[in-house]
Amino acid sequence: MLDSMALAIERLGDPHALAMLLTGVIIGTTFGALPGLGSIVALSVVLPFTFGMDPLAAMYLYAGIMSSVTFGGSVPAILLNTPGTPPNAATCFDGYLMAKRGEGARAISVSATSCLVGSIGGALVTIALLPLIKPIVFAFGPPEFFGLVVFGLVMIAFASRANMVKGLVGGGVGLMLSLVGYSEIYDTYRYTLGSDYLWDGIPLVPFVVGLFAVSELITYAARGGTTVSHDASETKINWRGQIITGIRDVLSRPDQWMRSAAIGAGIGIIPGLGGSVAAFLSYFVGMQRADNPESYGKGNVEGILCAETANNAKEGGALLPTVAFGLPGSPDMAILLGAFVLHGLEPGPDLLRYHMDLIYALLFSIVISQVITSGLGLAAAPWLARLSLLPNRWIAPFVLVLVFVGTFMVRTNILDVAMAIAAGIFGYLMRRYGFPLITIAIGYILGPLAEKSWIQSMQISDDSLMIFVTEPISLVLLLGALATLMVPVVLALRKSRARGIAP
Amino acid sequence: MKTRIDGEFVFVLALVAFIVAMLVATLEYPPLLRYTPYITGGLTLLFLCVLLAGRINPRILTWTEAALQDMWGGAADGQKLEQMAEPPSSWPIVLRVMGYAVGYLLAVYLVGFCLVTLVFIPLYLIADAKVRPAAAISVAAVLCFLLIVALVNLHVDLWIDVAPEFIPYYIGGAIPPQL
Repeated sequence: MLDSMALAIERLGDPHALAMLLTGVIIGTTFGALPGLGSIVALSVVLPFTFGMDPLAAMYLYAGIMSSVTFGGSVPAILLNTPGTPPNAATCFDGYLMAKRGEGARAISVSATSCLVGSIGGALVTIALLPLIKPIVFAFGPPEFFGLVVFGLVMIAFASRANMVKGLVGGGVGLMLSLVGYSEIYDTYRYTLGSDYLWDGIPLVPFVVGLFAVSELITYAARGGTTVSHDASETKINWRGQIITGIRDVLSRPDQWMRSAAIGAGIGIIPGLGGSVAAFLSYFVGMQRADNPESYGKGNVEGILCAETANNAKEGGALLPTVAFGLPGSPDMAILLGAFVLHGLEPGPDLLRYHMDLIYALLFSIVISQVITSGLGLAAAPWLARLSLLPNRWIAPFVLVLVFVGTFMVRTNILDVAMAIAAGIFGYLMRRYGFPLITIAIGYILGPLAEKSWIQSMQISDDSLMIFVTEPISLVLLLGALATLMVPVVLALRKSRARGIAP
Repeated sequence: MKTRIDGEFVFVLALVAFIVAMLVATLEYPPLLRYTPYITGGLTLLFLCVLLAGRINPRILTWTEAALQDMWGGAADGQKLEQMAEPPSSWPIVLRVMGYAVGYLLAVYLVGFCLVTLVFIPLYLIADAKVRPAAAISVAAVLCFLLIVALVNLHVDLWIDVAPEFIPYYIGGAIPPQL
């Protein structure tokens, strides 16, 4: 193991390796920052170019892309309330409000530092769990998935804190929208209204980008002015000072980034969940455990920290099942898997036995790429943050063009752009009438996972609900979800009873 | 007690209609595929009814909101999102912006990405952002050129218009996807 690590480190010292990492970082950050694109498109675009490359050099390029996309996506989320990739949606809630307060550079600095600690955390968890990966992956069947997703859906109640009724309605609408499309289990099309386009359901990227980016674009283009509120722009903003503050914000909260990294890596290991679930789950766990949870969603640095750390740590975790069993933990890992095969490497026990140096090289290169990304991000933050001082109406047409390109590129389907615009108008109306968009996103992302795992569990058990009780992990997760939901209710009842008894 | 019929009321009614339509459509599906829509749709409908009832008698909404916030620890200061948000822009301005977005999409569909983007950005900057024409045109030209060069180099297909082919791969000749 140590020999493999030493060999991996030695190979990473090669200037050619660093050049490939840097190229990957530049491509990844750019694709991450363009709304709608992200690592899947970036990897797909780059894949054909790597065909003739040395496998290791190609791996460095992929590592550079995968690790930098998240940070790239957080920049428009913070400055324009436009998530570069769907998992960055959780960063919008606090990042954008910080930018409005004139703390854009601090928010970017928090994101860059969180991405770095998340990446290191994810790599450490991966190294630690490498020998234990098999039982963990195989322990998760449909009932366990269902327990985990139900745990995630409970977040809707907590995400609606400031506006309960409308928040719950938003969650319900998001979940209902997620049910549109083909159900492979029953070979049935639901709610497609005879449309071919809706066979695959409402596509994730156009829906999330439209919901957040286009609705925000309509809001700020109509409002005019700048992202930074008038009060903040009148005072002299110390952009450079904010960078140090941002780094300190993260480093002074080791418990939070360790927890978020563990959540991210854990979610990454379980195939099929992905970055959005990691970011949202970490955000709400952070919110629940915070001393002042009501400050989340109002420009709290911890919100960015939790979301971005988990989102980055997920990469390390997702690498585990990919290399160990050829089971991709996320869509971008599926492309990486294709790249492995393209370069003659067969994921599985043989890869772990004979090419451990390659696995470590990939893992270390993810961390080194993140160091490069975060370094560049911190250096560029004061200039990037100045975007928030530009008049909104100058930015609006460019954002619209980028949304167009981003949503179109994923499947080269013009109807995806129409979907993004429609989702944007719907999102604007929801936003205007006080329905929190976050709950719609949670319902939409977790809905299909919940239903699929529910149906599969029922089929396995011949329609017996006992499957959720007899499987220990599922039982623990469901009890955890129930406790999360009910403990505040019991406490509230006890408090009101005590108030009634008191003279 | 008077019912306030405003934009929000109409929007909530539209959501009710949407959920009811989905629930009715659910009747056709196999039993296991009905659970999620029934549970989710039913609960959503219940909360939508609370919102509508709140329009007739605001105490119903206030009571429900307070009860739910008591349960799950709502905003400590009791602030609502609407109260924290900035006042919304007037509808004519919002509709104009939406018009730009929809108009841009339709124009791209009909005339193609390259040509429309070159015209749309300076037009918007001059008409809405009040940028000087010379500056708007030059900024738009440079940025569009960079974007198109980057996309072409990455072998990304751009949407070409649905009209007959004019310049192969750039203007005309696209096959519209099936709706």
